[in-house]
Amino acid sequence: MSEAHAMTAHGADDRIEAFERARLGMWLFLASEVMFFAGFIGAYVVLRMANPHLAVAGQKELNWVLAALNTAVLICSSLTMVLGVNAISKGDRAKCRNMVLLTALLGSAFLVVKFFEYSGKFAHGIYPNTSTFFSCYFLMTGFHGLHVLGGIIALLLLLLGIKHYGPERYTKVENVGLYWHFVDIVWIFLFPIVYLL
Amino acid sequence: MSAQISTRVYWNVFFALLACTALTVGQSQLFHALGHGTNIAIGLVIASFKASIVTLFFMHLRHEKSYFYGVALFPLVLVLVILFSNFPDVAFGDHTTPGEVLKAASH
Repeated sequence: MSEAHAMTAHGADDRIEAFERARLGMWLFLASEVMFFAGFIGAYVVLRMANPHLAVAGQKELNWVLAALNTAVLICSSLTMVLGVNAISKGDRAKCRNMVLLTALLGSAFLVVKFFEYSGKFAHGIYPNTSTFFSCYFLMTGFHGLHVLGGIIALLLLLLGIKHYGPERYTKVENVGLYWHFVDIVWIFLFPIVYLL
Repeated sequence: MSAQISTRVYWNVFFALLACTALTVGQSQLFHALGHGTNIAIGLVIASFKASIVTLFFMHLRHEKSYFYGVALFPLVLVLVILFSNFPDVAFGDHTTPGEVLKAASH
């Protein structure tokens, strides 16, 4: 192997290692996020176990159809996100841009539905201090909504710098994708325990 | 990494997620005879399955090195420890609501 060839191979190894370290950092951040939501969800679970009737009256006030629609929206956004990451890893920047944009739009649609859901609650005089159940409901779904908003901002920043990414350099796209899927996973648990069960 | 994965896999996971969501809604609305506790358990099993396939396929965990699994699973173990550490108090405690706990603490 020539010296120039060896140096190129060495550079590629460094890049792969840097990519792996960046993903590891993102996974560690997501681990801390798991603990963040665990506090809220854990409190809700313990409160419900202590008082099985805690959610019965509250859940009747919730619109599970809207929540199911939002679940489908977030699942669609996870698909578009992973297709975007897949596209950039294969060098298809235009498809990646479209998929990231679609993900941001679906995330925005989720927040719009959430806005109407909250508006309906406020119109009926339901606030976080209405009951223990609604305190948990607004806390969990509110912080989840803020995470969705954070994800949309990250997606828009990706779009602004999309010309800098390609098959050799897409760490940020992959990491924003990891964050977006995590937000989806949190909702996967919130939907049944808050709205349905 | 994602470069080696066919988009067909992603579409299959997507349809599985939608099907599981329909299953969750269906079982919560239709199978009241199963009992509330059983329904909650089934709902959580379905949610865990959905979270697993998102993690493994969309987040590419199954293509990562083994120590990534440790990073992903460790907080879940901590969550279970936190939840189960509260069980004795929930199961055997006298207080059922935060208001009652505060009232008891003030006496």
